[in-house]
Amino acid sequence: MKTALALIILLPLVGGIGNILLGRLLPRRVVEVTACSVIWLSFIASLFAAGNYNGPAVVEMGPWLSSFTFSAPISLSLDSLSLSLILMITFVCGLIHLYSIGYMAGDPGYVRFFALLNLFTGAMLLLVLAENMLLLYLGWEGVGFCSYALIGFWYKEAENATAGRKAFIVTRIGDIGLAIAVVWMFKLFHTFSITQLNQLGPSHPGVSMGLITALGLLLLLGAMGKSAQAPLMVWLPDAMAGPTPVSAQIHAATMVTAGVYLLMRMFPLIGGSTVVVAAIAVTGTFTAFYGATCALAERDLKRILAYSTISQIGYMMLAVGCGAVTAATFHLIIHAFFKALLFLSAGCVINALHHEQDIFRMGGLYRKLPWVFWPFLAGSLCLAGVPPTGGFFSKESILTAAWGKGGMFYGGLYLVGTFTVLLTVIYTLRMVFLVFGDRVPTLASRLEGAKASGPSVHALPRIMEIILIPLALLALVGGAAGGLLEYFLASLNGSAGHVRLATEETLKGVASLVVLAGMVIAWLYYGYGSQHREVRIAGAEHPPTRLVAFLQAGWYFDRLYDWLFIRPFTWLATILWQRVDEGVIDDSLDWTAVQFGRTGQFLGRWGSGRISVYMLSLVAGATLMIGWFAWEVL
Amino acid sequence: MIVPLSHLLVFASVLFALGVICVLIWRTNVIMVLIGIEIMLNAAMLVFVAGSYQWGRADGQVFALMIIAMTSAEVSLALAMVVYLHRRKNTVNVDEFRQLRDR
Amino acid sequence: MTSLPVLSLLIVLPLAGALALIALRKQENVAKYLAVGIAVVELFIACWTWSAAGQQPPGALPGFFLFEDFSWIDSLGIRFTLGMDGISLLLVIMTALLTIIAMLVSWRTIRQRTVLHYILLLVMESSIIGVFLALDLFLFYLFWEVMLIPMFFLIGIYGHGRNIYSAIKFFVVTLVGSLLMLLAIIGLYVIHGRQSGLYTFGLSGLLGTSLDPLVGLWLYGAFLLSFAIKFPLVPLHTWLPDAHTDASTAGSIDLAGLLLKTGAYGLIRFGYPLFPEAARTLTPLLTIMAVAGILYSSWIAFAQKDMKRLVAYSSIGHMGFIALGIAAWTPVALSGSVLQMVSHGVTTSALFALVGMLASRANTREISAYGGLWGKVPILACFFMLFAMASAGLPGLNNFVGEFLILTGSYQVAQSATILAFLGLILSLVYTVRLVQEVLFQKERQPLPMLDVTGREALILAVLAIGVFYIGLHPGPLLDVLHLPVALLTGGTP
Repeated sequence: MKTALALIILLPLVGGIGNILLGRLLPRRVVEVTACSVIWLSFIASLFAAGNYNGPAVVEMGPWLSSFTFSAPISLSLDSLSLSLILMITFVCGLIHLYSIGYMAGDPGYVRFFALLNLFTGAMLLLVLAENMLLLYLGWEGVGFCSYALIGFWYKEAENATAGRKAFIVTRIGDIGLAIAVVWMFKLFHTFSITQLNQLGPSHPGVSMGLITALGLLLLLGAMGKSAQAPLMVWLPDAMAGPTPVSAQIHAATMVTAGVYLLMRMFPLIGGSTVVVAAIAVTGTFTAFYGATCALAERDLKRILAYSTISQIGYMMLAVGCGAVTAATFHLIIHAFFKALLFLSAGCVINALHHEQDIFRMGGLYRKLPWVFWPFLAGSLCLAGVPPTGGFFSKESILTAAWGKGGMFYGGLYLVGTFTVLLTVIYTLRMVFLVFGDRVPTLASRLEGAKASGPSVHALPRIMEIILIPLALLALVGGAAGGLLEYFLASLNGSAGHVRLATEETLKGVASLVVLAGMVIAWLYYGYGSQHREVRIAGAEHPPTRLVAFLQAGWYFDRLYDWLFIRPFTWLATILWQRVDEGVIDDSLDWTAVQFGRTGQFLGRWGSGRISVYMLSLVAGATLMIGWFAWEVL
Repeated sequence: MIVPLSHLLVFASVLFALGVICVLIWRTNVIMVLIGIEIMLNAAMLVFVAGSYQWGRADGQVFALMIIAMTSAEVSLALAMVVYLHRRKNTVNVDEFRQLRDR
Repeated sequence: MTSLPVLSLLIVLPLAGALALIALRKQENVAKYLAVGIAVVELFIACWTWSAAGQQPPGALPGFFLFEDFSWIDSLGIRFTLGMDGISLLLVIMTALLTIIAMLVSWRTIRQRTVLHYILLLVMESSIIGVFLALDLFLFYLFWEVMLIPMFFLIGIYGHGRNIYSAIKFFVVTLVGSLLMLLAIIGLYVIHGRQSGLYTFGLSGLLGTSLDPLVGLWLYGAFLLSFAIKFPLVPLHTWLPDAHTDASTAGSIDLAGLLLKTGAYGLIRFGYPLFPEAARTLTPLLTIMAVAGILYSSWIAFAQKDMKRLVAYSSIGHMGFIALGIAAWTPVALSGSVLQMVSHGVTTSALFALVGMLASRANTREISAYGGLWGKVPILACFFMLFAMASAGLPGLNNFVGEFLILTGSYQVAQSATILAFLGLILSLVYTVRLVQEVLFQKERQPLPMLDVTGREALILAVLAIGVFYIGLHPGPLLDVLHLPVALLTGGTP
């Protein structure tokens, strides 16, 4: 077991480091095969670990940091939560690595790409398996760095590099919350070990519920940064500047869910605080709603998916906030499957269309890319939560948990969550219809002739399409795994309310109805043959209305932050440097020096070279001395 | 001793003061400065002689003779320099001679 | 090992080397190789002293595993006392290593008065090692002042821009502080002598001198001022950016890597142990200056246009963390501070070396002149990224370990100050990614003549990179050797 766990993490890391050091000397195929094989070997090791799993285990690998009471060994913990996550991560990452071979076929920077992708996987696995907070933080920052470097992978475009920078800095703000929580926990509990922290909990002497609340809110801040939750969600849509496999792996399936994972991990400690739990639930619900509204108006295919990721992670947060850790995990895993699937298919679409990302300029791909269409449709149905896909069950279990908590507060959250389901269906199907649906040639385009047939398409590497199939299957039938997971993770659940079977069925019915309503609305607005569709496609050429512009700009959060933080920061930086540092501090130093110089020059004038002055001074001095001497004596 | 030591000292002090005053008042004139210095040296010499008489030791008188010899040498050299300086700048004002100052 | 005066050897060897170099001043190449050879031997000796760790020689203060004591100026109670404990050990090894790095960095770039440059570096090494080993306050002060002289010439002769101005500024500002410290040393000497009748400058004798609180405050204040200028702590820092900007690369490495550490070391070795009461009274001041330094200089670093100035301001920020750890004076924080001194030496030297390498190629240090190096010089860019991330405190790399220990230790005693210091981590990431983006990413803004690393440069960077990873991933041995001295200093159980 120890070897297996070590291998799970070490294989990707070794692959990444090996590729950094030697990749440039090796032939391309070797680099690609190494990068993929280490991940799949890691998956096999995870399977082995799963096969031998019998109850939570903590394995200490060796020392890392230890000084006096400060002790953070390299120790890993395997429990049902981390086990299910490492299986998902190694599997999805393995598929995405394979896909990347096709996607990166023409790119000269493949060594850097695969090395970083491998390193990322290693860091992510470390994050999930870490037994103490410091090791978790190592993985946490490691994935952050890889994400930064991969978003800016095509570094020559300033926007890509800026997007990477934005992601890194915004998530770092959250990370500081986590870091403060870590040292605070150490102050209270004198340990970094997650197991011990969760065991000691609020009953530890000197720990009050207020402190637990503060810790929980700090952890929530960390989760907000990493998982792109309001108000730190602004980085994720921009992060789509990276290559699509990166968006699929990091910004959909794995890293962005790390925040949710952190909260689930620490739930036994912080779950006792009603304030924290409510804050998590509100954050999640608001973000889910926010993401869905933005996705409704967005035109960039990848950014729509990014907003939907924000929204779906909001659901996971809501689940954690309701104490339904199982539901959160369930949705996390299903989401990883279908969102990776959607991103990978979107990558196929974008690649086939010569890097066109505007959905209003697509259309008709249903015929041209059938191998992409069907998996994309599967992923979309799953995202929309159409029964009986996995997405329906996982989202339904979250909403049920919210309902089950009862009361005005959670009831409100349930309503917002359900309304968001409606929005989700609409924006998902809007995307599907616009990208794949046939274009009914309008009069104008009919006159132009050629345009009516839609954009031209070039062939895709086969591997990119093959990868979509297993993911599509998993997304569709993943719902069946729900029960298994429920049983597997039962020990993790917090104080989730229990819902009677009849109520549960009713809620399912309500959800199905909502989904159906959403499908109808989407059909009316964007479906084939409807008049609205043409109106909308034509309208897309005009400047957006105020509401649409508001949604497209992500509620103007970026502009707000620009005004609130970035401008004052840069402005003050220059002021501090030129006015305060060089102006006040340094100039006062220079002023002192100049004054000393002036005084010296002034006194130096005495040495005028005139002998008469010297004689006068000599006599005056002698007189003074003799006079003083005489005064003393007499 | 006919004249008491204290009188001599007072007299020497007055003489010295006169020398100082001479130097200070005509401080820009080299010749007057030299005269003032001579007067001060004479005052010092007088104290030496008086001291030697008071304690009956010859050292003071030896010093007085030394000073006489030194003064004569000094005066001859100084006056020669005055002549030289006067020839260079056509003045005996000391303040005109300040080349050694760097500015 | 005890029979050989190895500590004196550590100080004398570079000095002897400097003398030999004077004799060899006509043969530049021989002199260069000799200088590096001596520095390498010095490094080996320094590492070898590690094997003595754990011993307790007779007469030594507890914790010092090597100790040498010779009579020197007995009439004034001045002795030539050297001692090495875990703290000195790490700093001495770092000094020896960075001297080699500084020599190799300037291998080709210094073309005039080459031999003098190496002589100055050797004298510098000797005096700084002297500072780290001296246990007699007079001897400490002697080395403390001697190290200014080679530094002054390194900036003044081999610098560029307003190098004379910066050199004089550096010299005068640091000297003002040290003269006050000299006064305080003499004051302490006299007070202790009057009390006990034993006039001595030895640290072991002066420890535990009971002082009137007000007098103690004044004496400690003078020490603190001198150390704070060396640190440098805001607002006494303005000599540093100028000195760095105008110094040569080797000068900057010596300055940031070694010279700044003497301030922190002095505070740990002399400031706190000699004046425990006063130090406790002035701890809030130190904390405030530390936190202000972290935030303020990291903020300013963001606005810099000159790469070297940016690194210089970042260096002030990192030194602020060290000061924070010392102010906390808990075992964890103090270990972190010492480790951070070593880490900062490695990272900042590497960054200065990189800036020097870039500047020697493109002949400019303006950030806005660069861009797109990632594709042009991939190996150099890789190293740049690594050291920049280490400087930003990415876990797994060296700075994280020290900083996190400091923050953890400091959080136990000064919660709000530490939270502010955490914000400094955000700021440090902000200026780092700005630098990385403007230099490595984006399009090439000017066609600059760029070659990837040469073998010598790769060696320098690889050695430092190994240091970065070693401290980041396996700091155990370093923390172990710090355990005993830190426990003794903080009064905990060893």
